[in-house]
Amino acid sequence: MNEIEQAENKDDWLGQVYNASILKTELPRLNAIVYFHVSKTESIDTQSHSFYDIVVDYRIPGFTNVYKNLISDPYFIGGEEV
Amino acid sequence: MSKSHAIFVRYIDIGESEDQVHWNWANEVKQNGSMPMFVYDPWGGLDSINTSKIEYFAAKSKELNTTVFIVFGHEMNLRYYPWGNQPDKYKEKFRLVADIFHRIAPNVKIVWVPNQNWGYPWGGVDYGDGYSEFYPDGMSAYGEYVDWVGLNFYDKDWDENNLVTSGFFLSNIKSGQDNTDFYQKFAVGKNKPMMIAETGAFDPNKDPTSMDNEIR
Repeated sequence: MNEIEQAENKDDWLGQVYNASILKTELPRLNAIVYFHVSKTESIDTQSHSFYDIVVDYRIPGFTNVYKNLISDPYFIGGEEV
Repeated sequence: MSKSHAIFVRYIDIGESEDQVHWNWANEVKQNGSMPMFVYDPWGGLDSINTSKIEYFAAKSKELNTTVFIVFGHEMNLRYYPWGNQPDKYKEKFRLVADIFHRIAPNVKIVWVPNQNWGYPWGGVDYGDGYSEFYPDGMSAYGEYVDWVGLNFYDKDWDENNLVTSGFFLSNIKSGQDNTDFYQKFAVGKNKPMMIAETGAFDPNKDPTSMDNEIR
């Protein structure tokens, strides 16, 4: 996958997680979502339960506005203005 | 104007509770109008927990004078962590830790956060549905031990290389392994607010399946 396709995959996930209409109707007690915006080394457990390390990049793509557009819904309150 | 984040998260070892760097960070979070959340893990193992360190951390949390979320021993249903896959001991220590925070720092919200249960017990001991046996039910003089329930999960597991599938977020919460509806059982059933304490998506090209193929 190229960078654009990777971003589209992440944006698809963001679209599910930050879907305000689903959250309101199906999960009204879901009051907070923490996105793991990190690139880090993970220790991978194989089928034989031996481990090896890979770098996994979970970060929200910086060049698309999908996340910002989703959380602009007033259902997401954000932090206090300071 | 863009919206600011409500919560920022820091992962720490309970053994390092007295490190001032945590409070420099937490004060910065507060000054930005957000709430700090500490994923507070006993990396020395459940028997290593030192109550004086937790009392110190609770007192510092109270000083902060804002809502502080504490996730004790996250993803305890996994076998990989020193606190993992030990339900009875985990619940005993959760209650101990929760009581200390509730006694000293009423502004702290104690959060119980397993990993989503698909694949449980991941090579460890199978104690049940992967959630219920780890839930520290009950209450003490300070109230119920759990203030919030939470769940960690991602768009796929590391041994998968598929793209994001439609409806997976909702189905993972409401229709887990053993037909467990986490939302109904713990958020509604226990009358708790719920959070997704970790989620994200990652590049399928970096999946171990494809790396295994390269190694072969």
